[in-house]
Amino acid sequence: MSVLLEADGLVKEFPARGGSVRAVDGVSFSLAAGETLGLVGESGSGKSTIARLVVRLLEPSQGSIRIDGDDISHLSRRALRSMRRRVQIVFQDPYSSLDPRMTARSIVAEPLKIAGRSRDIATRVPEVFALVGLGPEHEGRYPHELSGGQRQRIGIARALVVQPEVLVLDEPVTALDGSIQAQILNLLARLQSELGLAYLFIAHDLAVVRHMADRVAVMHLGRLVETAPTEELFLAPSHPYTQALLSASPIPDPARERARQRIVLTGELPDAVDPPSGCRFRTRCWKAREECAARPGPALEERGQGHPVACLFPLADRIPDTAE
Amino acid sequence: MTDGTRVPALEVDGLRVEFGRLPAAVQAVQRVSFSVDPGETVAVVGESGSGKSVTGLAIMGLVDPPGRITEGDVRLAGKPLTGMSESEYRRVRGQDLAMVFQDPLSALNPVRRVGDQIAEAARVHGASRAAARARSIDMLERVGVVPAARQARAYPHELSGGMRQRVMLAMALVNRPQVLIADEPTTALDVTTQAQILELLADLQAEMGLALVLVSHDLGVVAGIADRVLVMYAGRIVEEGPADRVFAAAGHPYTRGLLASVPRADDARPVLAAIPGTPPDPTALPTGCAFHPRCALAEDACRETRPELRALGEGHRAACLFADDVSVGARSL
Repeated sequence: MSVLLEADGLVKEFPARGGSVRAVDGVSFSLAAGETLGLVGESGSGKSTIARLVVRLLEPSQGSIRIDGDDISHLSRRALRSMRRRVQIVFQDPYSSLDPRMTARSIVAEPLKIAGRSRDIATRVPEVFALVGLGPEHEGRYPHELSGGQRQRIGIARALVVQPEVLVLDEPVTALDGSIQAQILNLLARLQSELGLAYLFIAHDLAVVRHMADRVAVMHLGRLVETAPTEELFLAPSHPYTQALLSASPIPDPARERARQRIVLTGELPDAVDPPSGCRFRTRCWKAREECAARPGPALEERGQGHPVACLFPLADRIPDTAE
Repeated sequence: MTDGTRVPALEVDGLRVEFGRLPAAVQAVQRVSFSVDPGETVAVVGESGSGKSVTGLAIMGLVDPPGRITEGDVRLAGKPLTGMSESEYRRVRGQDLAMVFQDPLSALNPVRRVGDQIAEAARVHGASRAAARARSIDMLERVGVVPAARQARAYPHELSGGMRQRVMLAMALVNRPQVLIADEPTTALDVTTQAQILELLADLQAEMGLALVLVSHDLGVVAGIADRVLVMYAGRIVEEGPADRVFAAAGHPYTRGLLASVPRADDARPVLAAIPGTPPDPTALPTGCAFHPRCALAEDACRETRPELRALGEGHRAACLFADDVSVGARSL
C-alpha cells in the first residue's frame, strides 16, 4: 500500500505554568490509502492534539506532516484551504460541534462554500445525506431536532462533502448510546469500503479500536510506546502500558471477567509539565528498573514485522486471559 | 434474591415516577421492583432515557419537581422511605443511604477543602468536630487518597479525576451506610483509573457489607462487578436475573441486541449487529412492547399487548412473549 499521510517527528508544545508542556513529543506514523490506523491512549496522552495537528487546526512546533509527499506543516491560510479538501475531521461530540442555529443542510454545505464550490451544493448535499443514511426530510432540521446518532451522521456528512481522502475520527462514538454506536461504526466501515477512505481513528476504547483498525498505535504522555497490526497488538501486546490498558478494558462476559488476572496500575499519571526522565511510564510500571530512568528514554525498536515497541524490557508473552 | 429470613437492605416495590402533569405526563419509570441484599451488587443497565438514573434518584428521594413518585414504595432494611418528610429523608440520606455520581467535580464544593467536605458529611449526622475530622482522614486513607492528612487540605480542582472520585466515595461512605447507589461512577475516567476505582469499590463493599446499586450503560463494567442485572428500556425493567444468566442466555431481544452490538476487546467481530432505530420518545411510547418497532422478532401480538416479565428459572425473568425461545437461542435475531 502506498503511504498517503506521513507524520514525522511531530512535536507540539503548549505554554504551561512556569514553562511549557510537550503534548506531543516526537511522534511519527504513516497512513496508507484505504487503511485505518487506530490511535489509543488515555486522557492527556496527546491523541487529540495529534488529530488537530493532522487537520492543521494546530501548527506543529517541530516535525512535519506530509500528504502524498506535500508538506502541510506550515502552510499559508490559502494553501490550507485546498489541503482541507483532502483531510477532514469528525469530532466526538455532535452536540457541541454543530452550530445550533444552522440547518443540517447549511452545516453540510459549509465546507463546499469555503472551498469555493457553492455551485456543487445542490447536487452534492443530497448525495452525502443519502451516503450517511439520512433523507431529504432531515435537510431542513436544526441540530436539536435530531437524535445523537443523526447528529453524528451530519458530522460525517459535513466531513465527506468535499470528497476527502483522509478522515480523522476523534472519538466518533464515545458520546453515543450503545445501540447507536454500532450503527455509526458500521456506517464508517461501509463508507470506507465504498469510498476508499483512510481513517485515523482516535479512541480511548480498545474494543472499538480492535473492531475498526488495521493497525494500532498506543500513545502515552505524548509519545508512541507501541505500534502493531491490530490482531498482533491484542494477542501479543509487548509494552507494559499496552498490557495494562488491555487488562483494564472491561469485557461484557461475567465468567471471563472473573477469570481474568487484572493488572491494576498503582499511582497516578505523571505531571505532563514535569514528566519522569527516561521512560515516562516507569513510575507506574511493575517491570521498571533503574536503567529505565536514563535519558532520553527507550526509542521505538522493531520487534517483529511492523511491531515497534519503546521498552527496555518488552513482554513477548501472550496474555492468556485475553488471547483466544 | 431474599431467602425469607433476612431483610433486604433495599426494596423497591412498584415504583412509578412521572414528569409533568396528566394527560401529558411523561412516565420516566414504571412499575419497577427489585431488592438488594447486604453485600450484594445489583446493576441497573440501560441507555439514556431508559429510566435507570431516575430510579437511582427516586431511591435517594432526589427527584425534583416537575418529577414525582406517583406510585410504589422504597424500603431501607424494611423501613419505608416513600412518604417521609424532606427532613426525615435528609437524616436517612448520607447516613444509611448514600450516592456517588458520574462527575465528582460538579458534586463537590469547589471552594472547600476535600477533608472538610467529608468531615461535614459526618458532622451532619452527629459526629463531634474532632471525631468528624478523624473519620475524614481515616476514610481518605482507606480510599487511597494519601498521604491523607495532606490531601485532606486539597481543593477538588487540585486532584485528578480518579482522586476526586475516591473523595466522593470517602464522603459517601464516611457514615457507613447500608446502601450505596453508584450512578456511572467510572464513566468519566480512563480505563486504568476505572479499574482502580472498581477494585476499590469491591473491597469497600466486602469490608462494609454494603448493598450496592450500580447504574451503568457499560456492559463490560457490569459483567465485572454485578451479582444480578436489571435491564431497563423505556422506563421499565425488561429483563432481570443473575449476571451470568443475563449475559449468557438473555431472554429479551433488546438485551441480546445490546450484547451483540458492542465491540469487544477480547474478540474480533467482523460486523456489529446494530439494533436498528432509536430508543422511543418517552412522550409517545409505542403500544404493546415498547421495543417492538426495533425488534426483528416482533409479531402482531407484540404491538397489541405489553408482555409481563416471565420466569425463566433461577430468578431470571424477561418481558418478552418469546422469552423462553430467545433465552435458549431457539429464536435468533
